[in-house]
Amino acid sequence: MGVTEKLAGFIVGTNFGDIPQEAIDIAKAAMLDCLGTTLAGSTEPAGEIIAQFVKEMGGEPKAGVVGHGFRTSLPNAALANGTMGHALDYDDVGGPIGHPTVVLLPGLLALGEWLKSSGRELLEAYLIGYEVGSKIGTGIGGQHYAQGWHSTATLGTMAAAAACAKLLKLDVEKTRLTLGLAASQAAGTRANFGTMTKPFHAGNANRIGVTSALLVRSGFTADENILERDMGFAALYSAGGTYDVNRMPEGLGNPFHILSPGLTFKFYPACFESHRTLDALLYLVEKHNLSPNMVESIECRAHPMIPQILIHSQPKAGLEGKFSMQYTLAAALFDGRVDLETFTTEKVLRPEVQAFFSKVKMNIDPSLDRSHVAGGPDNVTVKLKDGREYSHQVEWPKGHPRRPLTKDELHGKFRSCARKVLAEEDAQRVIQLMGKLENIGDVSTLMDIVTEERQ
Amino acid sequence: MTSQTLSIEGNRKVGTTERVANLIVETNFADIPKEAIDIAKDAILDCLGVALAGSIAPVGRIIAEFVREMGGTPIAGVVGGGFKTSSSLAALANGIMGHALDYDDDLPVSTSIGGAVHPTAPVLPAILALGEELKVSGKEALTAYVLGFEVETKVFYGIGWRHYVSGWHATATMGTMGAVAAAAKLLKLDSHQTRMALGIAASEAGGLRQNFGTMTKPFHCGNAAKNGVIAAMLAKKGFTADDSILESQFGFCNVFGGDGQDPGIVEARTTEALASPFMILHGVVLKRYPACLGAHRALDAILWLAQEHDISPEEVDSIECDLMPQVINRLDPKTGLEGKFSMAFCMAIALLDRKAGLEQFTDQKVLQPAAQELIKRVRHVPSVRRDDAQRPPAVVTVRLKDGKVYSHAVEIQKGDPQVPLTKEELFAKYRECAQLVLSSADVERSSELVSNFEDLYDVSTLMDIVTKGRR
Repeated sequence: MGVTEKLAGFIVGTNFGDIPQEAIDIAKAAMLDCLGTTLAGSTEPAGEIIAQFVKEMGGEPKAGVVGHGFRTSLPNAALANGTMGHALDYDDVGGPIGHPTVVLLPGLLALGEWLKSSGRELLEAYLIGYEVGSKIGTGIGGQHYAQGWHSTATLGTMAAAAACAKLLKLDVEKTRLTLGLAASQAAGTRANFGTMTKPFHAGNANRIGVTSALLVRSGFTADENILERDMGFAALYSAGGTYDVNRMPEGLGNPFHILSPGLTFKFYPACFESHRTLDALLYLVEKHNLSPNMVESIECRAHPMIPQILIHSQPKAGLEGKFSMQYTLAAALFDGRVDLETFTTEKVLRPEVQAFFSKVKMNIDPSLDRSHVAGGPDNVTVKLKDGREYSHQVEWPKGHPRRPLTKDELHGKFRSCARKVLAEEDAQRVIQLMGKLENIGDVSTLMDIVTEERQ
Repeated sequence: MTSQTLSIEGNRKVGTTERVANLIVETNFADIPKEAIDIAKDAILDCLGVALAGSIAPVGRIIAEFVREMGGTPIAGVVGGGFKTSSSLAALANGIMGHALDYDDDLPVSTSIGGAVHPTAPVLPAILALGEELKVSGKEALTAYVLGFEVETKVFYGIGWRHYVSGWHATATMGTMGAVAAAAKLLKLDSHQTRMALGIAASEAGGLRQNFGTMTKPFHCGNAAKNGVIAAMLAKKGFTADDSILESQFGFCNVFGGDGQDPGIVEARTTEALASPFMILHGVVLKRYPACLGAHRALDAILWLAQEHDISPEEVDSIECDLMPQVINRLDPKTGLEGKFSMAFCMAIALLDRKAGLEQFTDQKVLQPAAQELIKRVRHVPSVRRDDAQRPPAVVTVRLKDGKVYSHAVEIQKGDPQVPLTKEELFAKYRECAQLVLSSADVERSSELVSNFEDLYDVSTLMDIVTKGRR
């Protein structure tokens, strides 16, 4: 039995009862968090443009667009809501997919709204998609991302296809074809980090998952062994054949990726690679009551991969600031906090902040341990003009499974995001609904709230 | 467009993406030679014909039904469908139909990237869908077409063969870049917006050759057309992307160029190609058979042998030819689509029917015992491996049970610009395809409109005809 067939067997054969409660609990928190970032993202420029675009394209009104008060076709809703969910880069992080929830939830909610799926079916499809996408990524290996592919887009597409096939209850054969059709659409390069096209990648992954599963259900055909074949997904997306497809079906759901290595909830709406240094600097700023005029320079230790991800050393736009060690650290120092207000183009262009970029130094240290998302200590040293020096080291950023956000912090983050669109009582209702998601009979109840037009 | 626009502006280095964007923005109808326009019109007519025939193939029917169910603001027609939808969904459906039969055009060997890109099917549907929405003239559509053709082929030329060899379906990946170039032109994007559109499109480009012989192969064409439309429309609305996507470190050429290829060499090759005459001046291959182009020379050979020596299938002991398994990858065909990607089936059906037309590539024809029996008699005799400039002829040898041996070699297939279809043959192919859907009056009317495409005031006139419902 081939690898694609094995994964399809897992997708079809795994049910809610096979999934540990701990995984369900994290999934519910992740979905709430993603709904929050989608609501907040719906008012971002990328969110506004994509909503307007799908509105103009039009479509049978089957699924709602978050924060915009209209319905459209399933692929359009998946595209728009997925783009909004990632617009702020505030959504969760987990390797090897990158941003797992935002490539899964919007497509599943669109399909679920139409199919009137239950909360259980939604959770089941989400966790299976997460697991399968992660396993495909494990088999493909790190060269995929290193070469320039945005794994959230590419692996995310495969994850979304797996999840949508599950929610549509496709059989093993059709699930294999869905993976084959989706693989021929997987796309997204990291050169587009710091632009609106990065969140578009997430929307596109959702749209492709929905479209592929629906087309195969209607009789569309594709290669049935797309993962392992000579010109298949692993061979083409691993750059030079450094893959091992046999790792894909190994230990499926044992444990689920969402439990180990686990899922990180972002505390700052910036690229995750800035979070450890932000934790460290914000700690120093508060402890020593630092202000910008006292500071001579900020130095941090970084793995060689970091400047290849935080690619904007001289950011000029809000989105670029999210992918900039220079700006994230400068903002932390100047504002004493990093939150939804931090990443506007206006704030990035502040002359005093722009002038500070040259005082941020990254000391590249290849000896640092870096298994993609698993942490690795980042030392931050602040040198003051009066000669004093303060250092702090953070191993696990706030929000990492080893330093999880409390329930209150998660709900607080959701409320701060939802506030941009929803009334306080609606935000509270969403929190309550998501808390008992496995008991909800029809997820459109939830969608009716979050797709309301904003106040 | 003049060569000056390709030079260095002051001391600032002009990158590949900017060159491509400038080419798109600055080229106008008057800059395109008449010869290129004539080739374009033939290619457009041919593509419309195969799309009409493709609209009643299973994949054409499925995608039309899907698009109808999804719904969309009714702006652009679906070929053979009798309804309109959004421009992006119309581009998707019509692009899939255009490639459904694998009967659409291809690049000639003289380009040195021959056979690797179907130039028209990913680009034309984007133009016609947007053209209908924007009510563009035939001249504008032709300009956009030549530019789409130019960008998809020259970006591919820059990256080189290894892109295709490693398993990417260049028609899908490069087709996306061609479609966005054409869409950007029709939407009159400025240079900056065009660079954004190229950046968005690059993040939509994909397509695996592993899917050859399935419905996903034609899907690649529709997807490319749709990608181009969406990327250009989003860029027009202010969506942002990397402004140097072709040459950026983690950009298009890096992920699609195969591993370890020097980006400087890719950039130099693309730059050189962009400064050369329009790629379309090499002409296009108009296909005589609705099968993978890789099989065409062998089909020419075996059909000639069957006719010349009046070979009946029962007499045949074995057939020898290069199966080209790296391209024509279905070694055990069971469906009509797989038959198009099986050299053995092509040989078998040519002997059985002495034809390789639309009726030959069906599930029934592939599954018939006589064909399956002959497929087993086809033996792989590799020809010397192709290099870029020269390739060995396709040799087919038929050995009969009575010991007779017939052999024939074909250098260049009929339909290549070096052995072109006559106008009459082109129109005959169009009629054969279009009459499956259109009335004979509409067949004639539509071919006249394309023959005088540069005089067309609004491409909707043409689209109104080819998007009528089936008779």
